[in-house]
Amino acid sequence: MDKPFYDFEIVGDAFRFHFKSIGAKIIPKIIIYQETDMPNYYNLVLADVLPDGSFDIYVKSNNGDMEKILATVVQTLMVFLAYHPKANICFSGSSETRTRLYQIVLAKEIEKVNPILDILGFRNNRLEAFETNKNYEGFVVSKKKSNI
Amino acid sequence: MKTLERKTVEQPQKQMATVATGQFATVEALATYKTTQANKMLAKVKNFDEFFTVDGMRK
Repeated sequence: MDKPFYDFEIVGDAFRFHFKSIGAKIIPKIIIYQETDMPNYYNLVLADVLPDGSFDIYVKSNNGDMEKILATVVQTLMVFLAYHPKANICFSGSSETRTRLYQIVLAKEIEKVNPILDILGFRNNRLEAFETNKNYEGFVVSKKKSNI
Repeated sequence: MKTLERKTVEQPQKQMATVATGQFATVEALATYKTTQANKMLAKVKNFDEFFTVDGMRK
């Protein structure tokens, strides 16, 4: 949470964010918090905006700024929860590798965010309190009840 | 009328290509695809009641 992150633009009621990854290339990115079928559950989506205006979730940018991008995602998550404090945010990577990457980031950040956020991991069709040494298929993040 | 018939045939092919490459023409299409995946994951969860109330509030 204290890592460098990109400036981002908040669109509407923080359901959408735009920022630019700046490395060897300049790559516009979009983060979307989209309602799911379940009340108060939102899905986090991160994608590249391609030159033709379309969006790509699988592209490997290799722009040398992965940590800064993920730090930016965390910052947008905090903004989204400030706008929507009762929201639960679920997410997984667009591939197993990316889900594992998210897990590594959460493992690094969990001590810092623990007073503010609840992080749950999804595995074997069940949610459980996130543990750093376990592999998960997805995650659910929400504000601690005491912070709403 | 012919135009409508052609659209009906082409639409499924376009959607299949979108999923295969991970590219989406609109933000709505992207959000819909990813949210469908999220809904599938959420539908599998068997123990929501341990952590959340029925209206999705954290216990």
